[in-house]
Amino acid sequence: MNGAHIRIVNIRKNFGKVCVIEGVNCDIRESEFIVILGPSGCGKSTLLRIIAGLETATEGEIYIGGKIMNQVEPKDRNIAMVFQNYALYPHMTVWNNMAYGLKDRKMPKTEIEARVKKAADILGLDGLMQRTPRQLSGGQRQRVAMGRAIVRNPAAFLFDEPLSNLDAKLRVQMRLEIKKLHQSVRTTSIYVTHDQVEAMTLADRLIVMNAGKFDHVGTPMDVYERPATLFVAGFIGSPAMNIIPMELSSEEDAVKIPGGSWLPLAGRLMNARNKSVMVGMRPEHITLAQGEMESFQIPVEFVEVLGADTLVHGPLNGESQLTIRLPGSFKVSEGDKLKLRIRPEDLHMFDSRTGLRLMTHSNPNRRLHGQML
Amino acid sequence: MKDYALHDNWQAHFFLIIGVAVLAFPVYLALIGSTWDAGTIARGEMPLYPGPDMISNYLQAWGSGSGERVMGVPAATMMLNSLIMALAISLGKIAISLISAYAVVFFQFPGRMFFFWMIFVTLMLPVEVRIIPTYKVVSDLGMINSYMGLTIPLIASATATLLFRQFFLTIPDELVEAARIDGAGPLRFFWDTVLPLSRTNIAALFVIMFIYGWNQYLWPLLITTSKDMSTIVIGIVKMIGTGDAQTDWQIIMAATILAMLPPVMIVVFMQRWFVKGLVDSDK
Repeated sequence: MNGAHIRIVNIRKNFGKVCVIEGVNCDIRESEFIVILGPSGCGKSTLLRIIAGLETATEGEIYIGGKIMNQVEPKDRNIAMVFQNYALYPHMTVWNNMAYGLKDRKMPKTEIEARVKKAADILGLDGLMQRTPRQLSGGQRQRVAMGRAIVRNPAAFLFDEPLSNLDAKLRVQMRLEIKKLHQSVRTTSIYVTHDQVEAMTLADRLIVMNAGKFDHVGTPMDVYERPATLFVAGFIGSPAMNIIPMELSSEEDAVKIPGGSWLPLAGRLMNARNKSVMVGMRPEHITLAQGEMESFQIPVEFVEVLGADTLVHGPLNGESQLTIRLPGSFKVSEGDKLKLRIRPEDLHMFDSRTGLRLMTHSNPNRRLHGQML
Repeated sequence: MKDYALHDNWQAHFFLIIGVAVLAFPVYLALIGSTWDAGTIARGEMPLYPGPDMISNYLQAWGSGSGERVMGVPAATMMLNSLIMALAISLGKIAISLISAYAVVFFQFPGRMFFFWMIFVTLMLPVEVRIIPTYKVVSDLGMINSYMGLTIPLIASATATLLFRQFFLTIPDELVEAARIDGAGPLRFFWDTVLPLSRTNIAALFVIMFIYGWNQYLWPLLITTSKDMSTIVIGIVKMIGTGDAQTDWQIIMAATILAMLPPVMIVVFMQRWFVKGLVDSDK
């Protein structure tokens, strides 16, 4: 049971005059775990519902297992969906909740029993089969919802923010269980969430969605290391990336901190259209400088001690606020001055108008080592 | 629910007991009245304790409906008529309003809101306002003096439709969608999910509508002219003698007590469901 290949071709969706999905494309491979990540209102749930057949696309096609699905009813698409509020049938027992979809398909009784039993084993629901949903905890309900999906043995699992109703601890636990489940059944999965930790940990590939468009499609590491747009850069990573407008040098190989020193880039910028660029620096990539040349200073305004890490906030040359993530062992207090540096290859440059990522000439996709050290 | 000891708040109990006594006293009088002979009541000498004629009075009311002076219809016949009417009205109302609320809530069709508002608007017209045209329609259809004429015009119910609509609106969309993905069509969803979820509402509505049907007065008065079609509520009124004829109060009291029993039984037996249906939404 490996699931099907899913193709999303040029899907558009309008609600009245409002366009919520603006023509997106994606090829989802068999057994792949795709996470669609985006802020609320970006169209991610709508896209999932279009794939499920609960919503019709204004334009474009959905293919599941090579067959066009636009006119196919949800029940005939061979997909199973897990909803945010679980959507269990409140008056049915756990067993009936899981068996209901199979009964509707007129499956023989013995087959139903075997499948429900197997799913219950996988999910650890054995002792709970005769309970009704209201007698279950949130995590157990979530498991039943997944069980209902598993017994169908579908071509794809669709998850619509399945963990948002759980408390933080349970969320971490269920996240791992979903990951384990996918590793054992290998069914193609599409998982919609606004939680970047879920997205990073679960995804084989990640789609970052913003205002109805796919801003970035790639592996979690790719999205983290080379965000395709300013939006992705700010959205992925916690604490968020520092994004500061800077001026580009005439040789296009350095940027100037507002009212301060120059930061060299890893190479000349390709296709920079003007001299003002947005520069992104991840808080964890900014380190303490030990006498190097290309350093900059910030006064410490306030400090957040998280235990493992210490977050330091301060204005960069009196203007843009900078957040820095330092090891928890580092002692710092308000009013101190910190001398900092960042490696050129850790700088992210974006066009200030379009928000698109700007690449450097020298080997833009590989981290450079030793150049500054 | 907390159990208070009596001495904790005897004032509250005191007023409650007075309230109950005020409400229950007429019923008690009716009960006592049904146990004495006609003469005792007519002379105004009825004591406040039970008399000797209880069994004969009730047998007479049940079997013939008439005492020495007024020729009546047996309470048994009239109660059967009332029962048929109350059951038909309450079950019919529930069936019709379940289906129409289901249509209004779960289906998109042209004029959906128009139909909803039409149903809603009928709430603003009490039965009395539309009773003449309704009578005309029913009589043209030849349904005078029939159970159909007695029940069908009272079955359409905006109140019940609205109640079910409000309840259906609380069923999450995801549940509908989960059922669609599970392969349940509209009818399966109705039978397998909506109906079981509505059962406490149905029970509550049944109690209310049964009593409503049982206590109907104006409509049966218009629509039934033959004696063997009359309902118990009408029958009791007709037992009261007019003009010089004296009234068999002991028979009327017995019939009244009998008429009270079915609604009381419905409430007692369905109380648990009734309260649940009104209080929690069972989700």
